[in-house]
Amino acid sequence: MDASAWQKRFEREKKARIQAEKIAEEKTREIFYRNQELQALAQSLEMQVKERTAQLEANNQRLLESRNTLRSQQKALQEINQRLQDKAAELEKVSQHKSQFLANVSHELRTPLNSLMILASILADNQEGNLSDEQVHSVQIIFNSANELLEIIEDILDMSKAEAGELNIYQEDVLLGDIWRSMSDQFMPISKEKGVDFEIVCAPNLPQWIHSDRKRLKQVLKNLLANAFKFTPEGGTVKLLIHTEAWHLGEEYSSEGLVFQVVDNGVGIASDKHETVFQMFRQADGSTSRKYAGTGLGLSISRKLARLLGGDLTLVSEEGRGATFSLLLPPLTLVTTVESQSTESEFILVSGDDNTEPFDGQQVLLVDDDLRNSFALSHLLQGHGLRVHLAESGQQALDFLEDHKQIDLLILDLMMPDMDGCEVLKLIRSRVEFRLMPVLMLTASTSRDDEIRCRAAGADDFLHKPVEIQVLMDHIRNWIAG
Amino acid sequence: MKGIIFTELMEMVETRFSVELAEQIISAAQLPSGGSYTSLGTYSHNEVLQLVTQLSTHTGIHGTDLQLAFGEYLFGRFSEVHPEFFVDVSGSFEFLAKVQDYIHMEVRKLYPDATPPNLTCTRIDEHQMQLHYQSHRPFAVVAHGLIIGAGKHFSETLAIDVQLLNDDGTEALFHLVHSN
Repeated sequence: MDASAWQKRFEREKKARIQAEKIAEEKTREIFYRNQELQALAQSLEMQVKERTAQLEANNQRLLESRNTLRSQQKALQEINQRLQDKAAELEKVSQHKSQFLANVSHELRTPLNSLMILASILADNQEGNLSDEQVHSVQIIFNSANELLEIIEDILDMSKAEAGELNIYQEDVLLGDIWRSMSDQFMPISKEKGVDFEIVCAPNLPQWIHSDRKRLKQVLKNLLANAFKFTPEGGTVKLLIHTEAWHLGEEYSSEGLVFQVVDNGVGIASDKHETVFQMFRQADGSTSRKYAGTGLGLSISRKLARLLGGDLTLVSEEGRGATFSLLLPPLTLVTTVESQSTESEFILVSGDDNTEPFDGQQVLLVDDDLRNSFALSHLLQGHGLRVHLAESGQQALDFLEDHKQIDLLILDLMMPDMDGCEVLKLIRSRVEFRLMPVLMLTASTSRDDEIRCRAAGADDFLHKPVEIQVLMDHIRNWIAG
Repeated sequence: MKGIIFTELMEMVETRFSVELAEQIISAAQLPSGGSYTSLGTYSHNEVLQLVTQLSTHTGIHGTDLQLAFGEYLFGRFSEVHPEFFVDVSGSFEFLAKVQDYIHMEVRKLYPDATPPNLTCTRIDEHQMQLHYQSHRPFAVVAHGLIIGAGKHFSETLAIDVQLLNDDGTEALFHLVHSN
C-alpha cells in the first residue's frame, strides 16, 4: 500500500475519531444537561414536598383548633341544654302550681259567690215587699257585680286553659230550656238594674233536648248577653232569639242547625272593628280613656268555644245601630227523637215573672260544710215551699238519715272535710232503703272528672256552683213532683 | 444501522483479507459517509450492501457467502464484546430465545431510535426450534450467519434449514435441529 493510500486511511480514521469525539461530546453534554434537569426536578420536588408538608401541618393545626373550638362549643351547648332542661322542669312545676292555684282560687271564689248570688237574687225578688225600690236596686247591683266577678273568673281560667291547650268540650244531651232559663235568671236582674228591656224569643219548632256542651254553651251566651247589656244604654232592648236555620254544608244548603242570636240596639261596632273585637284582650275602643270596662277576653274565648262546638260566632253590626251576634251550631246539635219534639206551637216569650207552682212541704236534706251556702240555699228552697233539713258533714247527714228515712231529695256538696260527697253517697247507696232516694250533687269544682266520679257513685243529678235559681228549681222539680 | 456493524465489517475485511482490500472497497463503493465509521455513529444499511458488493467484486466470492461469513464473524465479536449476555446460558436455543425479549430490549434502552429486527422463536421439542426473522432490512442471510456463529460458539452440531419468505431477504423462516 503506497503512502497516499496510507495518507487517505489516516485522514479517514482521523475523521472517524473527530466524529466519535463529537458524538461523545454531545452525549456527555446531553447527560450533563439531563443531570441538571434531574437535579432541578429533584429540588423542585423537594420544595413541593416541603410546601405540601407545611400546608398539611397548617391544615392540621387549623383542624386541631377547630376541633377544640367545636369541643368547647359542644360543651357549652350541653351546659345550655342542661340549663334549659332544668328551666323547663322548673317551668313545668311552676305551670302545675299555677294550674293548681287557679283551680283553688276558682273554687274558693265560687263558693262565697254562690251564697252571695242566691241571697241577692232572693232579696231582689222582694217577696215580702218590705224593701224600698232603692234597696231592691242596690241588691240587684250586688247580684250583677257578683255575676260579673264570676264571668271574669271563668274567663281567666279559660284563657289559662286555652294557653295550655287544655280547652276541652264535653258534648251531652242538654235540656234547651235549662239554657235559656239560666240566661233569664242571670240577666233579668241586670235588665231591671240598667233599665234595658230583655226578651227571650224561642221559635215554635225547637226540640226539648239538644246535644252540646252545657257549660260552654251557657258561657258563650252569657258573654254575648253581658256584652249586649254593657253596650246598650238605658231604654234600649236586648233580645235572645233561639231558632233553627239552614246549615251551610259547602255549596249546598243542607240540614238545619241551631242558632242563638243576641240582638241589641246599643252603640254598635264599626265594620272595620268587627274582627278586632274577636281578638284576645281587645275591645273596639282600645284607648285608655275607654268608656266600657272589661278584660277583653270574652269574645275571643266565645269564638274559640263556638268553633270547638263545631259551629261559629258571627257579627252583624253598624256603628250606632246596634249589634247582632249569632252563635251558629251544627245540625248534630239537634236531637231529633220523637219525644224531643216540642209540643208547644206558640213562640215562648220569657219575662221576669216566675209562674211555677210552689212545693207542698216536701223534705229536702241539704248537706254542705259552708254555712253561708246552706243558709242561702235553705232560704231559697223554703221560699219555694220545701222543708229543708241541714247537715254540716257527711256523718251528720248519715246520722240524720237513720232517724228520717222519708227524705224526698238529698242535695249533697262534693268538697267537704273528713268525708267528701262521693264517699257519703257510696255509704248511702249501700243501704237498700236509700237506693231510690234522688240525690243532686252540687259543687264549686269545675272538673269534669268530679262529675263522672259522682255519677259513678250513684248521683242522679249534678250542678255547678254558683247555681242559677231557675235551673236549680227546674232540676229539683224533675225529682220531686210539685 | 448502528456503527458497530460497519466497524466490525471493516475489521473482518482487514483481518480476513487485507488492509489494502479494505481501502479499495471503501474507495470503490463511493459511500455517502466516506467510510469513516465509528461504533458511536449511525449509518444507512445500504452502505453495508455496497461494501459487500464491492468485496464480492474484488475477491470473486459470492455475496451470499460473504454475508454468511460476516454473520458468523459478528456473533464471535459479539460474544467477546458483551460476555454479560452469555452468563448462565448453556446453548444456542436458549440464547436465540433470549434475543428478542432481552438483547433487543437492551438495545432499545440504549438507543431509543434503533430498529432491530423481529425474531420469534418457537420451540418444537428438545432438539428442534423454529425461528422467524422479519426486518425492514434485507439481512436474512446475515441472520443465518449469526445462527451458525451461535452454534459454533456453543460447540453444537446445528443443522439449519432456511426458507426465504420473500425475494428481498427481509423475511425468513429458520428450522434448527441440533444433534448432540
